[in-house]
This record gives sequence, structure tokens and C-alpha cells, in this order.
Amino acid sequence: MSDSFLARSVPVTRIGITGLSQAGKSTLITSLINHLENLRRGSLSAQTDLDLLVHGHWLRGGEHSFDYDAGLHALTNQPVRWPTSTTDWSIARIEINVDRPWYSLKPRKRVIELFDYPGEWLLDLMLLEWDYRQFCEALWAWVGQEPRHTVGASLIAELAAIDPLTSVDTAQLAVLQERWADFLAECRIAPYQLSRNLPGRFLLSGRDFDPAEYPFVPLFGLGVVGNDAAHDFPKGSWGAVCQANFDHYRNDQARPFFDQHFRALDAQVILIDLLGAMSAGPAALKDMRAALEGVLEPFRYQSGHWLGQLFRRRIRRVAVCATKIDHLLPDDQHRLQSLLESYLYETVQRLAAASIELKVMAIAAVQSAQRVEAGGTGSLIGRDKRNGEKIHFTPPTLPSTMPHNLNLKIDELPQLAPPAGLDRAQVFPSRRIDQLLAFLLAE
Amino acid sequence: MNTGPIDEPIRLKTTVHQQGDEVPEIDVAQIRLDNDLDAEPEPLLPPQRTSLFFRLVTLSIITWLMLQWFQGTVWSWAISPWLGGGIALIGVGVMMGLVVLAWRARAASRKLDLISRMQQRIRRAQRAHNQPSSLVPELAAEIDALYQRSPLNASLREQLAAVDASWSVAELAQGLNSWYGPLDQEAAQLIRRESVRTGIFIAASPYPALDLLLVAWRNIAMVERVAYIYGLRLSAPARWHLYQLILRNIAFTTVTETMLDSVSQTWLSNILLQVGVRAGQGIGVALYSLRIGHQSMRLCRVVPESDPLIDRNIGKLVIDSVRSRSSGG
Ligand SMILES: Nc1nc2c(ncn2[C@@H]2O[C@H](COP(=O)(O)OP(=O)(O)OP(=O)(O)O)[C@@H](O)[C@H]2O)c(=O)[nH]1
Ligand SMILES: [Mg+2]
Repeated sequence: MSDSFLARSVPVTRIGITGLSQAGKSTLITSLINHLENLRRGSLSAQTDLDLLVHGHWLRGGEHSFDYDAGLHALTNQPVRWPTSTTDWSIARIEINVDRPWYSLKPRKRVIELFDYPGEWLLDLMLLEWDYRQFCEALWAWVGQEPRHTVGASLIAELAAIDPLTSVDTAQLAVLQERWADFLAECRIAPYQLSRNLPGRFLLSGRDFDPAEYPFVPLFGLGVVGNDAAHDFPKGSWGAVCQANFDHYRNDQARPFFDQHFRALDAQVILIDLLGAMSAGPAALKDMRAALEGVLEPFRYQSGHWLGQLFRRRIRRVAVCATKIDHLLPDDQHRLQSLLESYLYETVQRLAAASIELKVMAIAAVQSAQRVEAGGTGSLIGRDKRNGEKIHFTPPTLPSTMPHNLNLKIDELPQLAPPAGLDRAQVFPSRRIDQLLAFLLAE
Repeated sequence: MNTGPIDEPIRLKTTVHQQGDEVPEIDVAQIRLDNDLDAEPEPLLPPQRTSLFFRLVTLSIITWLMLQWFQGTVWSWAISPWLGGGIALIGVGVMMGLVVLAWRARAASRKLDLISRMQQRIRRAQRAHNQPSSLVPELAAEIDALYQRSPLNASLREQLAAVDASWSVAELAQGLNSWYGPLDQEAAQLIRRESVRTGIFIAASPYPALDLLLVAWRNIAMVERVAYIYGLRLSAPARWHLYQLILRNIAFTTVTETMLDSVSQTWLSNILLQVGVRAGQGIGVALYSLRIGHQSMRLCRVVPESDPLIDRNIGKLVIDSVRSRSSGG
């Protein structure tokens, strides 16, 4: 009772922080809370849109609450490190006092909710619309291309060799499923860094789901069978079992997750690790773009469609952000933003047409490099996160436009560790987090 | 179709200069300071919010006047209904007059001055398209009119002579920006000199009570001289805005360390820790003067700046010279 009363009197703004895995979601949320906690200090106080917000305060506790403590612990304790990768969804709640004029009837408090989840799960948005056959076809197309084709050669051949109509060997299915998960895991990391890794929950299952209970794999032998046979696999066959378990995965795991959490969003932040993908090369860039386009597709559906409703019912603002730009010099940070614009041109155009307030920007949640100048040229110093050594480097100069075929690769860009000396009571040094907040929270 | 090697991507190289312990440690406070120095320019004339105090004072004065009027009306009514009626009427008339005045003032405070409006138009046109546009001659004529009585009129005429409808707004802006080049330089030098001087004065001043006057005097002089360099008189809204900034700068000289912290300038408090309160205040005042100078430059230019007029290097120079001279002397 009191809960619903509260919900009515204090307006809640729920913001989805969306991004493929390792895009920088959890770090951004940690930084956003830190900025809101220190609202009247630093650059936020200069944002005229946020004039009225005086004090933010993180609400500890509650179910599935975001672990800000853990984030702070990682970033402010010696030795500093990045927050660990997310394993389940959570919500960060921040209460903000609003300084209204005395005659105003509007509420004097606001609650901001930031929704975090493992990036692997986002990709499941793509398979919500597929039946099992379409799932297999899509994956078949993906594994036909490099580098997946070589990485998973033997597994793919084995899956293709299975006749979906023969009766299933559960032991083999379990093994194959595990190998599929391993294959996804390998594609995901360097040097490949591919994005379209389905099903996402095979990589990270979350608290209430055990993939081994409902095993399935894509069966590439389906193409041989012909179209309508897909609907009547003999009982107990490979095809029937995989199809049933796929349906379960789609209907009882993936779909409720998005239904529950995306329905209530007021704004979306879409984080894109463009620098990371550029470091991995053209294949990763292409895969990431395809993944993002697939994931953002629902914005395009008409209002009758449930996915369209999910995305468009409330969402008014979308910020598309390239993350981790602290690895670049200021001029290139600007260029990265225009690269992002041309990289996602179609998607951005589509969103812009959908009567949504849209902003494309380049941000860094925690600035980890310091600029030094010698002889008129800038360079950066920081600490490499992989070996912990201090490093002095000049990042590459970016082109001002993205080549249409995405044939671009950044060499040897280090990945930085967070700077030592961060402090909860002061704003973390960052790039454009203030502008992002001003955009998201403007009334 | 594709003649080049298809598989070879364009390679963007990172140069690693040094690795290991010789590389200096990075300093979070310094990063903050850097970010602050190259923050995006603030809006030219930000909307003003009236303070609670001002509102309370106005409200109590109005209440007091109403009470007086009411008393007067009752009292004179007792003498003669004619007199009472007259005073009541006069009161109503005065009130209506005041409402009209307040209304006008409000409308005026929302208006931008000519220059900011022109900058806004140019910026919008630049963003919208790069084609030749009929806007260009129109703008050129307006700019010319603005400089009608300025000593720089002749040289500006020369610059604008070539402008016709085949120009795009971006070209016009570029041309004007290059015309402004020497003026910008002169103004930036003046501002830097003034900021350092004011900062050192504050850092060394033995009489804190004098600081206030000093800062006000130096800053006002600086603003006027910047306007003079650009050959313009400051408009009323621009001057009002700049004087408000100067007031805030004066506040710097009187506040203490703990208050500074809550004035949102956390980086300043870091400097304070390093160089001591007095020198820290000097640096604070110098940086704020720099900002005031920057704002006055922008308020005097018809076209928006293409590169920051006062860049972070100047900021650094100012900090360094105030710091070194105030600790040395
Ligand atoms: N230099 C720099 N690196 C960053 C920044 N934000 C994120 N990173 C890097 O990106 C990695 C992933 O960040 P996370 O915030 O864990 O990403 P995530 O999207 O939550 O990832 P998952 O939880 O695995 O989906 C970190 O380990 C950092 O190395 C940033 O602002 N600056
Ligand atoms: Mg995470």
C-alpha cells in the first residue's frame, strides 16, 4: 500500500543502460551515481538543465539492487581496477531532491532508476521473433563467414552432420551444447571480439536459469530436410527436442525478461564500444553493427506489435554513446562521434524519424588517461590494465569519416586501468557525463 | 570494382613512447583541472533565475506598501468618502502601472541582445546547410549597421565588400573569423595580462578588505577595454551579465576554504591544498577573470568562435605565473 503511494507521489524516471557485453554499462552506472551524489560540485552544476537538482542520494538495499559499493570498492581501493563483469540484472535507485520555487506544486523529489544487466542477454532480443527454423538459418548464415567459420569449423561440421529426424542422443546433445557455449565464448573475446553470440544465456545464465535443463543447439542439417518438415519432427528426435527447448528459452526466459524490464523504461542509453571493435578490426565492426541493428530493430515496429510497444510506449529519449573515449586525444574524441554517426547512420536516421529525442555522443565514464604536451603535440599517460604498467602513448589520429566497408583497424591501442586517487566524495573525472545526464534528466 | 586489396584494412597506429616506471604517475586532480579548462563554452547570456532573497525583499516591500495604502484609504474615508475614494483610485492606478512596468521588464530580460541573436542565427544556419543563401547579404547588412559608429567601420566594410548572395553562411563566418583574428589576439593578451595581474594582487594583498574593490575595478576595466578593442559598446543585457559574473568573482575574494568547496569548484580546493589559501584565492580570481574576459570577447563578436578564443594553454599559463610569483614573492 505504502509502496504504491510512494510510487505515485515521487516520479520515477527509469533509464535503461543498454549495450553489448563489455561496452561499459556497469562502469557508466557507477560513474552516474557518483555524479548524482556530487550534484552541486564539478561540471554538473554548470548544466542549466539540471539547475533545480540539488542533492542526489543512492538508495541502498531493495531487491536486485545495483552493487554500487562493489563498484566503488573496485575503483577507489588500492590497487584500483574496473568493476567486475555483470552476472545478473540489477537496478540502481537514486533519490534526488529538487529545488522548486515555493509556489510550485510539482514534487520536490525524484527517483532515478538505472537498469543494468549482462550485455550478453541483450542479443536475445533478436531471437524473440524467430522460430527454431529461423534461428538455425540465421546462425547458419553467420557461421558461414569468417572468422566464425574457422574458429568453429569442427563443431559446425558436426552440427551439420546431425540428421534432425533421428532420435536424440541426450549425452551428445549436452556435450554439443557446452561446446557451442565455448565457441560463443571464444568468438566474444580478443582477437575476434564478435558481437552476435546467440543464445546469450548460454554465456551467462543468470540466477534462475540453467541451460543444461533445456538443452538445444542449432541444427544445421535442417536445410536438407525441407521447409514444412520442421513442424513435425518425430517425437524424441533431435529436431523435436531442440525445437521444444528453444521455444522454452524464447518464451519463458528471454521474452519475460524484456517484457518485464523494457516496458517501464523512460529513456535508453545505448553504449557502443566503437574503439574496442575498431581495435579488433573490420570483422568485429561489421558484426557489431549487425548486432546493434538487430537489437534496435524493435524501435521500428508499428504500434500494434508487442515489441514495438515495448520500446516505444514510453521511451522518449535515446542517447547513443561511444564509450571509453578517454583513450583518445580531444580532437579525435570529436571525430569518434562523427564516426559513430556514420557507422550507425541507418539506425540513427530511423530513431530520429520515430519522434524520439535522440542524441549521439562520445563519452568516458571514468577518464583514465592524462594529457601531456610536449613540443606542441599531445600524448597520453595512463596505466595498462592488462599488465599494470604505466604507459605513455600517442593514440592514432582517426579519419573523419568511416569507410563504407568498415575496413579499418586500430593497432596496439592499450586498454587503460582506472586512475588511482578516485574518491567517492568528489566527481570522478569523466568526459561528457554531465551532458548525458542533462539530456536524460531534463524535464 | 574494388581495385585496392580488399582484405587490407586502413591501419591506424598507436605510438607507444615509453612504458614502465619512468612514466609519471597520473594525477586525478590535474585531469579534473584540465577538463575544467577545456569545458564547452557556456551559453552567452544564460537565463537568470531571481534569488529567493530578492523575491522575499520585493514581496515584503509590496506588502508594506499595500498596508500603507489600505490604512490611508480607511483613514481618509473616515474624513471624507470623496478623499478615501480618490486615494483608493490612485492606489489602483499605481498598482496597474507597476504591473505593466514589471511585465515590460520581464519581457526585456528575456530578450537577447543583437549580437547574441545574430550568433544564434549564424550557428543555426551553419548547422542547417552549407549552401549559398539569401541570408548572407541580409546578415552582412545587419553587421554593417551594427558597426555604423565604430572606429573599425571602414576595415569591416572592406571585409564585407566581397560578400554577395553566392556566399554560404559558413564562408561568411569564416571570413569574419579571420578578420577578427588580430583583434582576438590582442584581446586574449590583454585578458591574460589582466587576469595574472589581478590574481597576483589578490595573492599578495595585505588588506583583504581592499580586494573587493580591486577586483571590481580591474575586471570592469578589462571588460570595457575588450569591448573597445572590438570597436563596440556593450549592450545592456551583455553588460548586466558580465557585471553579475564580476560580482561572483568578488565573492571569491571573501570566502573561505570550506565555502569555496561548496561553490562547486572542487578543483580549486585542490589547488588550495597545494599552494595555500591566499595564493589559491589568487589563482581562483585569476581564472574567473579569464572566464569573464572570455565571455566579454564572445559577447563582442558577431560570429561564434570557431576555435576557443581562450584555450586551456592560456589557463595553464595564468595558473603557473600566479603560482610562481605569489610563492616567490
Ligand atoms: N578507459 C576506460 N575504460 C572503460 C571505461 N568504461 C569501461 N571501460 C572498460 O570496459 C570494461 C567493461 O566495462 P563494464 O562497465 O564492466 O562493462 P559492462 O557493459 O557492464 O560489461 P558486462 O557487465 O560484461 O556486460 C572495463 O573493464 C574497462 O576496461 C571508461 O570510462 N574508460
Ligand atoms: Mg556490467
